Amino acid sequence: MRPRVFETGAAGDDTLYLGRSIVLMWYLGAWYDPRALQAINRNPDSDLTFSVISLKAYTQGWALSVAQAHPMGFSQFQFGYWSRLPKDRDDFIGKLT
Amino acid sequence: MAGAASNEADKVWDVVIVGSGFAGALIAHELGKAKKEVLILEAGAPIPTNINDYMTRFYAAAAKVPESPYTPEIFDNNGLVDPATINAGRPTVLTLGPTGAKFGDWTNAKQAYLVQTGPTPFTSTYDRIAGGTGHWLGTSLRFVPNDFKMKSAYGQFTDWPIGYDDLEHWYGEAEAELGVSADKADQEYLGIKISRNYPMQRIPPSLVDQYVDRSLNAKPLTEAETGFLGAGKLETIPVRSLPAARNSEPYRNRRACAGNTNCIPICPIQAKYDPTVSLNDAMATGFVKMMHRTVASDIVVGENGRVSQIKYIRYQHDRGPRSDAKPGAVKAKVFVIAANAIETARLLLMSRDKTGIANSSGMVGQHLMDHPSYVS
Repeated sequence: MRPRVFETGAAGDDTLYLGRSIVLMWYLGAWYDPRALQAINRNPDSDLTFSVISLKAYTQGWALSVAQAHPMGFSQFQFGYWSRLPKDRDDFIGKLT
Repeated sequence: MAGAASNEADKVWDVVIVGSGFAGALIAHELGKAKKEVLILEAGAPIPTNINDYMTRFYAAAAKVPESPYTPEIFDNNGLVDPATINAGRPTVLTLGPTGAKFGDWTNAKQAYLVQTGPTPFTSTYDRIAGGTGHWLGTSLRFVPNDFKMKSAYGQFTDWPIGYDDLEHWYGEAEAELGVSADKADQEYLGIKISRNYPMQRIPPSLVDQYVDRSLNAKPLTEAETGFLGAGKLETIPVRSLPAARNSEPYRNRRACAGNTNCIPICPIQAKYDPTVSLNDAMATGFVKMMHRTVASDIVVGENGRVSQIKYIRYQHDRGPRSDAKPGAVKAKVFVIAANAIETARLLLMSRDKTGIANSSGMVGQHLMDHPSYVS
């Protein structure tokens, strides 16, 4: 049986915000509680806390890799890289068509 | 690191040093090389044999502040703990929040270690391990000669009793010990003369540095652009690399910087100098010992008017009761108090039944200098 979310074709808020949390996890290596994301959407002044999932999640988050950068305290680059231009984007992620 | 054995309780050391930060570590190393028997009293925990614990804590911290790698005991699951429950407390940038804030109110003694009554908080922090100078940026600028004669050159403040020439040799010594990367010609400005070249080439300018340089200096600046500076005719504004105590090549068994962008609070590869480097060298001489979790509490003056011993209290766990670690005292021919601007003044003032010592000027604990802004 297919999950209900596919049957209805339109996910509810719980599914939507869970999806956002998962995407944030991939990119930032941190866990944002979906309920907190919902709350901040309703009221921008509410607290948005997060926790770092693991050392690996922190060091391997996609966002910094996409930016050809590195998280604070975890550089895989070599001395002097900061004085040279980064690789061309197309060299890095392939040609966008 | 070697601890002082209990059978050394009556020993008279050549030198006892309170604190193992920059001053304490460098002095201990020099004395150790000269075969003087030295004991360091350190309020903090021992320095780990490698920095993995520090890095693990730092990576996992949601708020990456200068204290994150070093001081797990100042937080628990509910946030900041009451500093009164910590045996050797320390300030944190997390308690620079506004008055009345739920978290980090700088005036709330249940959260902030420093008790402050002035109009604005003192924002610099320190730790209880190697002086907390693990989290310095590594900036190693020399003063310019006129810094020492503000009164005679500009009619401001006061002149120093010493001048740039008195310190020039020692700047060179310190730059060699710390391992400073800079370009001599680049740094000889406003009267600075450098007789001993820096041990390593400068840190290459970043893309941002290069952009600023190009934007400022592509063509000569005009009077209209620079007049507001009051610095006379100024056609260029040179952009220089900062002299940095971080390796631009392998130096003294430490690697070259890999741009971890993390000098504050910790370099994961120790390309940046911190006092644990000199402390390890000091220990390796075989003449320097250290007592950890040992807080100097009273400087005792003998009948001849000279300091005869320093009393200390000890603890076993960072929080909670002091347990059965016994207090004691150490004797030495010479004492060095190198315990940070705040803690040194505090120790001097609380000694001799809180009447204070070494304070004939009345200036101990006065005129504390802060960073004009906090870089983090």
